[in-house]
Amino acid sequence: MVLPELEESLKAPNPFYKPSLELNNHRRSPFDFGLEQGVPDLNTPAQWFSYKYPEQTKQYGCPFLEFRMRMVDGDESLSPIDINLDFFAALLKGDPKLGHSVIYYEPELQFYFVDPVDQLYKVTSQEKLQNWIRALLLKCAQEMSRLVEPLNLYSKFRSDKVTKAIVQRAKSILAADESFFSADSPHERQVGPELPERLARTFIESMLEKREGTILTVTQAYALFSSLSVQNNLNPVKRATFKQMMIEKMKDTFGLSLRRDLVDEHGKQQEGWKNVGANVKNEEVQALAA
Amino acid sequence: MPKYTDANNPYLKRLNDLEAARKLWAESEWILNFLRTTTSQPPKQFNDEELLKWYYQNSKRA
Repeated sequence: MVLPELEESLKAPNPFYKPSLELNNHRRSPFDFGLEQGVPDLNTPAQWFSYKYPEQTKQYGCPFLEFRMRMVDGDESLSPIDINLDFFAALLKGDPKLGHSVIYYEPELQFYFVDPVDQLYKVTSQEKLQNWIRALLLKCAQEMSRLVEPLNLYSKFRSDKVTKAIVQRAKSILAADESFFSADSPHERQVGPELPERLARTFIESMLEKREGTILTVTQAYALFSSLSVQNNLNPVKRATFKQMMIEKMKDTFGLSLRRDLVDEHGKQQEGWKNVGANVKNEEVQALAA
Repeated sequence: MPKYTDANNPYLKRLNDLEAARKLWAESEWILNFLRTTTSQPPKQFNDEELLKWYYQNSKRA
């Protein structure tokens, strides 16, 4: 891992050049009050990454170990020689200033990212995350001055071995448990088994209301809910599953238990809930009824 | 007709904010293009009002 030139210089120091190993984080000036002053001079890859990802630098440390060679004639060169896997794994979390978020959903062993346009979490792959890391490293290499040796940024750190290691580390750093996409969680995803339950909660809270003297049969509720599912591009839920979801949520929301002694307008005995009906003022209910 | 200076002109502020928002959005899209999977539909885009709303929301996080 240690560069041959460094190993050589450590064994027999040369009077014509001075090598050093450095951890070069970007440091904000104490006079920086957050006013826009343009992009500062970022002279090394470690400074470049730590400027763009300050929170990750604070938590996980400097992005690279860098080797600087100073010649007596004033020439110098710098090369990143080792990469901080934890920093780059944490970087994959995304920039909150752009509304980005990436998590590793442990129950499904799957990475998800949020699309800011619809605020839904969508699936992404490990290979796509590796592509992103490679592109960032190349972007950094292209923006560095001639002082910086681009070889490791371009080749070694962009290898499958290193990018895979970063994504593997990200599985622990970005881990989220099953509650992240639960029906009660603020985080919504495009596809998931909790979506019908989430829709059921919306259905009950916005499309039903307490009304003395009315009844809502399971059949009526199921018909309304199925239309709503189709409207929301969800696969239809089995009636038995729907009934179970409704029993719990109607108890929680209205304090009503399922009854089996209700009589509908045709005189037929039905299962359902008493003193609750569709909220006819709700536009979605009107649209579904039409 | 109210007299505006550059400092308090709301139209100029909106133009400047929109320019900054577009720049930030381009940065965001550059990253998201790595993460998205290609589908039959092109990715949705914000109109100007939605873009400004996104920009102001994220400025609070900055």
